Amino acid sequence: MRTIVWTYQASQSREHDSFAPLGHLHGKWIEDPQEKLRLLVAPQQQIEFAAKGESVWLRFKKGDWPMPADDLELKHGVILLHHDKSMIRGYELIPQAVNVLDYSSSDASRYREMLQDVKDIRSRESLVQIAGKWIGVYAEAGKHYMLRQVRHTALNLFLTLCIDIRSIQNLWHKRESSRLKKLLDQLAQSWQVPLSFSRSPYAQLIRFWYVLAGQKVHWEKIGLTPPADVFLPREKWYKPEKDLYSWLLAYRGHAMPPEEGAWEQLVDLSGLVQVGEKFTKKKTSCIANFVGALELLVKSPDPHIWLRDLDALAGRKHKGTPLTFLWYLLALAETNQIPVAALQKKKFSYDHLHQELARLTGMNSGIVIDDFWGWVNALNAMFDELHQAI
Amino acid sequence: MSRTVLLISYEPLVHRLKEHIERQYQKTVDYLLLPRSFFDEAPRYKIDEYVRYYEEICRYLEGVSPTSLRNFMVIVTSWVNFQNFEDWNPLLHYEENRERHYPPEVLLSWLVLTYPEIRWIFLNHAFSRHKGGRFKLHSLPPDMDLTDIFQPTSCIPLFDPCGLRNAIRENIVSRLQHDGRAATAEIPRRKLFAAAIDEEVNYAYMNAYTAYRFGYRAWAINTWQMLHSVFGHPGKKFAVVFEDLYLNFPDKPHQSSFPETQTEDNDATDQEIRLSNLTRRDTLLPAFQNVQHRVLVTVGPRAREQEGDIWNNNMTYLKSLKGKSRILFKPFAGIFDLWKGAGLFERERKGWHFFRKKPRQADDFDWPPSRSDRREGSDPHSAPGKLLIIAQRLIKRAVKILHETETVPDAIHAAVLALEAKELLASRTPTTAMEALAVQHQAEISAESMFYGIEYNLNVKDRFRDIAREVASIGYWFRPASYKKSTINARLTIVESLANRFRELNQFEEEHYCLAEARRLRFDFWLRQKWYHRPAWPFVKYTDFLLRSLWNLFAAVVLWLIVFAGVYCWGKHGIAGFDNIYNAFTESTAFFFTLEQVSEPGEALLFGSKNYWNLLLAVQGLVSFSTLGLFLTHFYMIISRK
Repeated sequence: MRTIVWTYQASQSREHDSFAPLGHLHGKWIEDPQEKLRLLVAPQQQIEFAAKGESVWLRFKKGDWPMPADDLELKHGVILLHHDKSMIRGYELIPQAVNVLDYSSSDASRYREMLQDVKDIRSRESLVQIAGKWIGVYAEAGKHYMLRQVRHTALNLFLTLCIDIRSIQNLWHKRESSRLKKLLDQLAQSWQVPLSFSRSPYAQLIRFWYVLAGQKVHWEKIGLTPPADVFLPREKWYKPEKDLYSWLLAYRGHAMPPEEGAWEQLVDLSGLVQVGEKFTKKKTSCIANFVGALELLVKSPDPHIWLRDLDALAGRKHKGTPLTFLWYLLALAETNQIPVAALQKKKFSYDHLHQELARLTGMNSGIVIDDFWGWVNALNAMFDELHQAI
Repeated sequence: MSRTVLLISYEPLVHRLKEHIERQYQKTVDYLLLPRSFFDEAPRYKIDEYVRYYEEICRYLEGVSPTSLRNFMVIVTSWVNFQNFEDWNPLLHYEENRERHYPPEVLLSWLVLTYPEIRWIFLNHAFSRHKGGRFKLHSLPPDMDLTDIFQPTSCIPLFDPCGLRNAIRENIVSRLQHDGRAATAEIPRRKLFAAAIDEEVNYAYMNAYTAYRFGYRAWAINTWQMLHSVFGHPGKKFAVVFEDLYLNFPDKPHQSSFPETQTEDNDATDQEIRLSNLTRRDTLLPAFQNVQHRVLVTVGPRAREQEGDIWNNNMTYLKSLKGKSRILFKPFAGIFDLWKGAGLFERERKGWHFFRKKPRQADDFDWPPSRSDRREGSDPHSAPGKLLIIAQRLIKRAVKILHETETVPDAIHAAVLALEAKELLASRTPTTAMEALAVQHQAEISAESMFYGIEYNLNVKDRFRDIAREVASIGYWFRPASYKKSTINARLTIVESLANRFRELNQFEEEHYCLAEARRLRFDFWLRQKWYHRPAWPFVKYTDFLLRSLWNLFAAVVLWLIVFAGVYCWGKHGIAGFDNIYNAFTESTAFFFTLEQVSEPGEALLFGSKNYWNLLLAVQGLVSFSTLGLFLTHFYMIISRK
C-alpha cells in the first residue's frame, strides 16, 4: 500500500486559497483499497520530521486543523508531495527510501494547473484521483530526467566511434592511404591503453553495459572488471547512483526483474543476455563481436591487409565499405546464432578469423540492422520505446 | 558559401570531429572545450556554471567579424529536446533547496537568442535523415551523419526561418512569476511564414528583413538548392512571398532534371531551366501554389518580343490564382515603401488618424504592445534580468556592427540584432528599449542608403510615424505626469540620431526631413515645458510649418500676398472692379517685398483711418520680414549644403 502525504504552504495565499476549502479532509487518512493507497493532506506548518530510535518519523503538530494522533514511520512506499521541504523542520532526516516530490510556483503552468485541480476537488474520491494524477505528473518528470540522462550518457559513449568508422571508410574509399595509416596509427595508440582507462570501442561497450546493469553484470564470468569512470544517473545529489536496471526495478516496484518488451529488446541489442537478476555477455552478439573485431583490426600489424581482405570478400553492395561489410558478417552470425569462435579466444589468430568470416559470406540474410550507425539509431529508438513502456 | 565551423564539445570527440570535418568537407574548424560532465548531463543545481560557459563562448564569438558570424556554424554535441520545448527556458530558476537540475537547453537558449545569425546545430535524438523535421537545419542525428549539415546550402538563420527562436519565446511567455502573473506575455511571437527569393543577396536580405520586421519568420533564399528545399514540397504554407521574376541562380539545374516541364520554347534538355515562366515555376515548386500573398519584384517587362509574351502569360496566370498577387517595380523607396507597394498597409482607424495608413503586421503578431492592450493584472516589473543581459549584449553588438558597416547585409544584421533586443524587452526597461529602437532605425536607414536597388529619396514619413508608435508604447512605463514630455524627448533623440546618420551617408534631403521633424518635436517639447509657453502655440506652429520645406514657404508667401491684397481691397481700394483689385494686389505686393509704402500720403488710409493703415503696415511688415527672412535662410541652407 502506498502512503501519500500531500502538504502545502498555508502562508502562500494562492495555495491557502486552493487547499483551505478542503479543510474537512485535512488531517485524516483517506484510504482507497482499489488504488492501494492512503492519503493525507496537511499544511506544512503542522508536520515535522524527527528521528526516533533507528527510524525517522513524520510527526504531526497542533495547529489550525486536527491531525492524526499517530506518527508515520518514513520508509519505502511513502511518497511526500510538498512545497519547499526546507520549510519543514527536520527535512534533512528524510531517508532515501522515501520518494520525495516537490512542486513550486517556478513550475509555471504545471503549478497553476495543480492548484486549479485542487480547487475543483469536491469529494474524497476526487481528492484521491487528483493526488494520484499529480504524483504521476511529478514522478513522470523525474522519470523523464532519469531516462534522459541514461540515454544521453549511453549514446555519448558511441559518438566518437561513429566518427572514427566514417573516417576510416571514407579514407579507404578515396584510397588516401597515407592519411588512413595516420588515422589508424593514432587510433591504435589511443586504444592500446589498458581497458579500464581506454576509450576503445570495446571499452565503451563495457561502459554501456555498466550504465545498463551496473554490478548486476557478471563481470567475473566474462573476464572483465566494472569500469570506475562512469557516472550513473541519480535522482537527487544525495541519492545513490543507479544503473538503469536498478532504477527500473525501484520505479516499478517489481520484486522480479522485468523481462518483457522494450527492456528485453534493449538488453538484447546491447549484447547482453539476462539470466534471473544477472547479465552476461551474449556470445553471438553482433555489437560485441564488431567492436572486438574492430579493435583487433586497428591494432593488427597491418590493418590495410584486413581492410583489403574484407573488401575482397564483399559483394557488390558492400564494395568500398569494408567495416560495413564486417558488421554485415557479424550480424549474419548473430541472426544465425553462430558464435565467432576466433573472437572469443584469448589467443587470437587472424587466419582463423578470416576463415570464419569467409564462411559467413555464403549465408542468407535476415539482417535487420545494416551497420554500426543503424545500431546506434536502433539503440536510440529502444530508449524511446522504453520511455513509452514504463 | 563556405562556412567556418566551431565545435563545442569534449575530448576526444572534439578532435576526431574536427579532423573528420576538415578532411571530408574542407571546412575551417575551431573548437571550444567544455567538461564532459556537461554533455553527460551530470546534475547541475546551480546556474552559475552555465553562466561561466556562456561568457566563455560569447568571448570567443565576439572576436569573430560580423560577416564571418553570418557564415558561422556552431556544432554543440549536446543532446537537446526539440519535441518538447519546456526545457528551452532561458528564465528557468529554481530555488536552490529544491535541488532541481538545470537542463543544458537553458544555456543553449541563451546562446541562440544572443547570436541569432549563427546556425546552431545540436544532437537531436528525434532526428533522422529520412524523418527530417521542423528543425532539420539545427539537428545532428545520433549516428553523427554530417552529410545534410554540410550540404551546400545558403541557409540564412538570421530571420528565424525554422522557428527556433520563436519556440524559445513561446516558452518564455508561458513562464509565470511567483505571483502567478505573466511577466513577459508581451514578447511578440511569429507564427506565419514569409520568403524573399532573389539571386541578389542584397535583395534577399532586404526583403526578408522587411517581412521579419512586420511579423513573419522569413526564408531568405538566393540559391536554387535552398529554393527547391523550401518550396519543392506542397506542405508548407507561406503568407507572403517576395520573388524576383527573372530568377537566375548560380546553381540553377538543367532542363533535363525536370523533363515534365519542358515546353516548346525551351525543349533543349541541355539548357538551364528557366524560372521566369511562373506556370513552370509553380509546377517545379508546388509550395508556390499555397502562397496567400505573392509579390513579384521586378524591373518590368523586357523589350524583346519573347520576354513580352512571357510577361503577358505571367499576368494571365497570376490573375487565375486564388491568392493575392502584386507586381512591385524596382527600385523602391525603402522598407516602408516596399511593404506599401506590396499592398500590405492598412488604415490606422484611430481618432484623428482614421484615414492614415500604417504597415499591416502578420496575424497574431502583437507589436508594439499598446497602452490599452496592457492586460489586467499585467506584471508591473521591468524585463526579466536575464533577458536584459541578452538584450544589452545584442545592442552592443549591433552598435559595433553599425560602426563597421560596409555592405547591406551588415546593416541588416545590425538591424536584426537591435530588433531582437527590443522585442525581448517587450517595451519594458524603457531606457534600454529606446536605445534598441534607435539603433534599429539607424541600421535600417544605413541599409536603405547603401542599397542601390532603392530610390534616391527614401520614405521617412512612415518611419517617423513608426517611431512615434513604438515610443508611445515604451513610454507607458514613464511616470504618467511626464508621459507626453518624455515620449517627445525620446522621439527627438531618435530623430536627431537619424539626422546624424543621414548626414554621414550624404543623404541630404532625408537629413533635412529629420531636422524638420526634430524641430517640430523641439517646439512641441518647448510648448509643454511651461504653462505660459502655451499661448505661443500658433506662432510656434506657423514657424514650424514654414521651415518644413521651401514649398511651404513659397505657399505661405503666396497666401500672405493674397490675404493682404484682400485687406487692401476691402479697406482701401474697394472690392468692385478688376482695376481696384489689381491696384490693391500690386500695392500690397510692392510693400511686402520692399517694405516701402507706395501710397501717396493722402491715400494712406484703411477704412478711412490712418491709424488702421499704420497698424496694417506694421503687421504686414512683420509678416513679410519674418517670412522672407526664413525663406532666404532656408534657401541659403540648401545651397550651402549642396
